[in-house]
Amino acid sequence: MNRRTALKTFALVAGAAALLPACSHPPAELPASVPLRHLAVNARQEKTLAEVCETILPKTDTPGAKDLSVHLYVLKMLDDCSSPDEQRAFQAGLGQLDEAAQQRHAQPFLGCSPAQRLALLQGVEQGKGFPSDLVSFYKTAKRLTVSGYTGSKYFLTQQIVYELVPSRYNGYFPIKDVNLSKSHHGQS
Amino acid sequence: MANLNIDSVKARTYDAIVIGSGMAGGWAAKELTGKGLKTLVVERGRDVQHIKDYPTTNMMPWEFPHGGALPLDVKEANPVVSRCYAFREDAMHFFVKDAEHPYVQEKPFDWIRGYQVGGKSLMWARQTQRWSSFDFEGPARDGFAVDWPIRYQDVAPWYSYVEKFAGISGHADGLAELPDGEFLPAYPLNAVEDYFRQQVKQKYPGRHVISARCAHLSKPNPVHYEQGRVQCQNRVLCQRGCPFGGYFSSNSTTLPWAQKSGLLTLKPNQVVQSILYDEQQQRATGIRVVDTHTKATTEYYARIVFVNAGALNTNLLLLNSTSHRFPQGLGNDNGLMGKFVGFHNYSARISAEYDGAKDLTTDGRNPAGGGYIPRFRNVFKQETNFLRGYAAGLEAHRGLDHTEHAIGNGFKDSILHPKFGPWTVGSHMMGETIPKETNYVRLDPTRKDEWGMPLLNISVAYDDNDAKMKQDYFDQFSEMFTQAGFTNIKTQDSGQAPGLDIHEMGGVRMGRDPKTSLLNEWNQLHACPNVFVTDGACMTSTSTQNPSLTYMALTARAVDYAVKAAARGGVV
Repeated sequence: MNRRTALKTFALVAGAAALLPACSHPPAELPASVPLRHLAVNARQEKTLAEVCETILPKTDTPGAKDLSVHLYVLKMLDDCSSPDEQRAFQAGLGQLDEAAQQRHAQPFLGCSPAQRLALLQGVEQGKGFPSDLVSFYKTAKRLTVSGYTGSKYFLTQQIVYELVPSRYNGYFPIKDVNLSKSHHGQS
Repeated sequence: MANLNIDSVKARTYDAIVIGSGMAGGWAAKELTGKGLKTLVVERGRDVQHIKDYPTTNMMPWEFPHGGALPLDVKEANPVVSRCYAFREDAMHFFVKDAEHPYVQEKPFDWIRGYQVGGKSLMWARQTQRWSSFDFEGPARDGFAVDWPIRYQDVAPWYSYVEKFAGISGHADGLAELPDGEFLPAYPLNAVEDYFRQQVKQKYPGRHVISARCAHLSKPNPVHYEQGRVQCQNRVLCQRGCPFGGYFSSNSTTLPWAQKSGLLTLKPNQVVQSILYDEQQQRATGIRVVDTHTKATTEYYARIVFVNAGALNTNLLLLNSTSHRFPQGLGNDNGLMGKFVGFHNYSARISAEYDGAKDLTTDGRNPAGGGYIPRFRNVFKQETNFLRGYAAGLEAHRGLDHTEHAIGNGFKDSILHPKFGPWTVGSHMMGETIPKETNYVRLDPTRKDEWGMPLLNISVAYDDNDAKMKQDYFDQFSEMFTQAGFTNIKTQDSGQAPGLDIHEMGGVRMGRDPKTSLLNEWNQLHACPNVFVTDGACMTSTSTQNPSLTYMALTARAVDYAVKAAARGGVV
């Protein structure tokens, strides 16, 4: 199989997936894949959240949010560290996301194409015309997606490398000598 | 015990007893054993052995379940300790949880404690500035508290003594208001801290920005290697405990040293209920402890007792050590014990941005934290409408920024390839407070903890002098920042209660006159001279400097006196 054929096949499969009815996604009756004490998030909502995180930080030539299971970090932080108010708004906003997707693209968020998802969340990012819980959900999801991604082992070993033992301090370090992809870039 | 076993008493008899194993207790243990005394150290908390008991010390950021943050249930269960900057996921296990050890806030007071071997010396912020003559002469000059019975010259050689052993990094700045010490090389100011130093030097004669002096081994001496410590590796994860021994703690330094003498017995999990007083001998004879697990009580005996339980707990223990001779607490003939408590006012901060030095950033981490601005108000003479003054920390930092209002590929790119933002500059005030009789601690008349100790009632508050001083800090620093060309200057009044500075002091103050003080110039109780108090409880006034270095020096000085006096068959 040459590269072009492979891409075509991939496009077909991807297209088919997009056409499949919503019931091919995890059913709402199933619980989330991780234990949650406060949030009531089912398997389908978990998948929706994963796609929200992926839309915020998509896979490119580097891993996307989904590759790093950032959505599970988002759920854990919300469940363990957030206030009941923030948890309630998050849950409500997660539900409103599907309503907004239905209104604009006539299907739930999971049924939308990546481009439709991006367009929808870009709208929420602007904040205009969306319910406040949806905006709050998105802001929380975005903040935690960023901290989950930049706090991940991948990011801190492959991108901006965390140094546990720097063994040095230079208060006059030329920015031109900073190379964030090197382990001794000095910035963490 | 119906049939008191003489051998058992002998087995529980030492030359000296030290109550507490933190900053001061560790030093007492090291000095007493170093002078050949068989020494018992009792600690109310669990054992924490250097390196072995630092469970998070080598954890990577991604290994913490919540990225370092506190779970909500921990915060809600611990509103007091959760306000402490260092009570985070990586060091929570070294702090007392609110419910474990209740106390009574007659007025809001955040009492931050570390009940374990090493105490708070494990998690302290490691800033170590000497006091100056202006500090020891403060109460006499400005007419508050009582005169210190000692002067800078009395303590100076002991500062040198403890600095050489602990390892203090700093620069000899030649300032009368902040005397130089026995320094390892200082950690340098960064580009913007240094820029501010030059600006202040030009525009504000008499004000100085210097490298913060801290208890880190920037370049160890042989004695530090002998302690098993090596050069600080700039991790700045100190609150977890340092496997390199890069900073000074009881756990890494004084206690292991005392252990090597073969003369130290360290008993964790022992709450001291009282110091035993013998009417015939007119001296303290030992202590009564309760085991935190078995609740069994035991007595231990010694000729010399050092009380280093931590400032407020030292007050609690002495007040609870009642006898026919001392119905109000050991040594408390004048009824002043527990009163004239002081602290540091840390409730003010200021931040700004600096648009210069754009081609520079920092590399690695600075364990000293940045710069230090010694007190410049009312030093040489009274010049404002408030008494005393404040020191200030100074930190500049260059952060990495990513695009904010974006999503998708471009947003991700901005996170993978962040840009340098402007330098941010911050300062925090460290204000001296005036110890007053109305700032006190006392025993709760009815409630006791599960080890039989009365709860401590704390009644400590800011006053008008603190408010005026804080306003002056805001005014002066806003002006200095403006003069330096900083922008986006923001003052912040944290509104925090006293206590969060973790510099509570006093209650068993030193002084010349037994009618107005509890301790003499050698930190002996006037009325019971074989009991020494050398932790924060002994402080007559608070000055602005972080106090630990002074506790270390006073402890070493008092042990030297105690042992010499005992050898002469003297007052101890």
